[in-house]
Amino acid sequence: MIRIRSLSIKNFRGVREGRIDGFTDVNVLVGRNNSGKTTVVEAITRAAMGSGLQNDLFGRPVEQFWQQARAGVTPGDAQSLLWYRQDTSNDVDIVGVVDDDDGARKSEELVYRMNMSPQGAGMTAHPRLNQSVQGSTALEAAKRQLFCAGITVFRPADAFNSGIEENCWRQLLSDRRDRLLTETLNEVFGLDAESFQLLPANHLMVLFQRYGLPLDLQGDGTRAAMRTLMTLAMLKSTLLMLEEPECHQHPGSLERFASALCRLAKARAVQLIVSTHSAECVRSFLKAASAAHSDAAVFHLTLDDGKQDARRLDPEAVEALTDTGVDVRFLDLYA
Amino acid sequence: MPDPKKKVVFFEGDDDKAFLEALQEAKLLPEGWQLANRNKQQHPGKDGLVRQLLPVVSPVNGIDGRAVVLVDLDDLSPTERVAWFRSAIDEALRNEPKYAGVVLESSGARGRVQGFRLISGDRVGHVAVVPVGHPDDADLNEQYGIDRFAIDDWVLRLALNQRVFQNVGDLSCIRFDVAVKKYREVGALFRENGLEVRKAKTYVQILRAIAAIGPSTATIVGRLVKKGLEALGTQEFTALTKPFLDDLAVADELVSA
Repeated sequence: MIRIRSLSIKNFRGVREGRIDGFTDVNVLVGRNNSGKTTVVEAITRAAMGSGLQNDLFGRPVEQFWQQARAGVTPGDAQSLLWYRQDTSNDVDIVGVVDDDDGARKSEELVYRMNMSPQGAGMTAHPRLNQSVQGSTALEAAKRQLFCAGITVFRPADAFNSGIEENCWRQLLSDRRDRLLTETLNEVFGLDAESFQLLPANHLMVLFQRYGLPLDLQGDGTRAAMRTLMTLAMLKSTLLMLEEPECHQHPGSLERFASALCRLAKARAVQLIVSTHSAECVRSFLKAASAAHSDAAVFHLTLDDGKQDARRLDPEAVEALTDTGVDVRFLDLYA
Repeated sequence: MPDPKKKVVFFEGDDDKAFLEALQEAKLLPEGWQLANRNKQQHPGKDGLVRQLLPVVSPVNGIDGRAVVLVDLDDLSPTERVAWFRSAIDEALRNEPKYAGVVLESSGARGRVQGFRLISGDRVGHVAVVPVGHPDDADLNEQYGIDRFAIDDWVLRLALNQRVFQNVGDLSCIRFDVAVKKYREVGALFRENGLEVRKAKTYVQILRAIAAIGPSTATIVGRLVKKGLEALGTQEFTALTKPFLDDLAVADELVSA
């Protein structure tokens, strides 16, 4: 399985300098507001731009996606806001390392470098593969390209994005992945839906034995879960990054939802990065990863004067700390 | 200015917890101390304590935090107990590949308390070990034959104080002088029958039995400390337990450095 293993960031958004090592199958990012969780997610997508990622699964160009996601913060024309403290005199430098444990475990670097012209006339982005890995085999390059091209970010607002089914449904039907979605949704929410059907004008209907209802008439938790699962079911051998998947979910559903996501991610060889403020979410994903025989880790992020620090904890350490009474979301109180 | 970072305090048993909780309630513990929830099923005994400690203080696969560990002396000297602790941490670090590269070094000692640093790169976790027990209490040693030391040495010391004793409602059914007499008689009877009476905890249990106290020993420990504070006042109480409280203050300084 191909995975991103580490990420280093320089002069990007709120991060002057930061490095995260040890990404594994299921990764949970925690940390206070403004600790750079979303910056990490954005940096990974930018690092992947040099190796195949242009538009996301739903056809949104990466640049445009982040402009929309940061709407109200980054006006489209204020490119300097991409730089740490808008200091464009230093290059933005993002390096992700991916490896594939199916083969010779050769690591490859994904590099995104960005500089502003001296006259301030505009920004030049240089997403590219590091020179040192240009010699990779065709198979390795293809796998890396597949991995990068598929990288997808699912934000809480996507729970209400009917464009997801518009883009995905035909493909999901092609090998009846819709059946898996029906089973999973029933399991997570205790429904007895028989199937789904996409009607013209992109109304995804949930069909029960005696009646059918548009997905958007279901509760927010169901809509969020269905669209997340639809997204994941579209992916193969890549990375899905979920921001606050606990949104709209009751803790009981969240546990089953996390379980379904981890199982499906394992089956589709998809690496997961989850950012959250919820202790229940941390617990649910660690438990779900263990049940799916996937490795997992929690990364606690802090940001101090632009220096991002990441503490990596394996599930055993998280359990021991939790048992001790240390909440892994508040590690900055201790260290 | 006090160190703003929290320190996690580990201990062995429920009696220690009850004692520390009562001290914390009376604001006699250093600021920022958080008593650990000990998971004794998952991490039993002294070795389990070390395993539960490592995620708090390890700079790798841990949070390079600060911790204070209270370990009963039992029949060891303070030096031997500190050496045991060091070797237990060393062994746990060596045996777990996930802690590879973590270096353990001393960060200084004062009296019986020893500080350690766990280092990896620019990350440093701090821990201080406090050997618990009162081997210097000649009265407990000679009159009661105690030679295995633990937190209960301080509990018994409180229970042997008449004003404290008389301030604990659970003990009102028995006179202080009778209780003291019974400690000795029952202790002697145990010994005559080949039963070991080497720990102050045994006397606390004898006290529970002769006063027909229902609640657990830990509950009685907590009450003795609270009622002791009430009866003696903070000044006299801290004077009585000074060696222990001093050790805690030293531990706080060592992990704050």
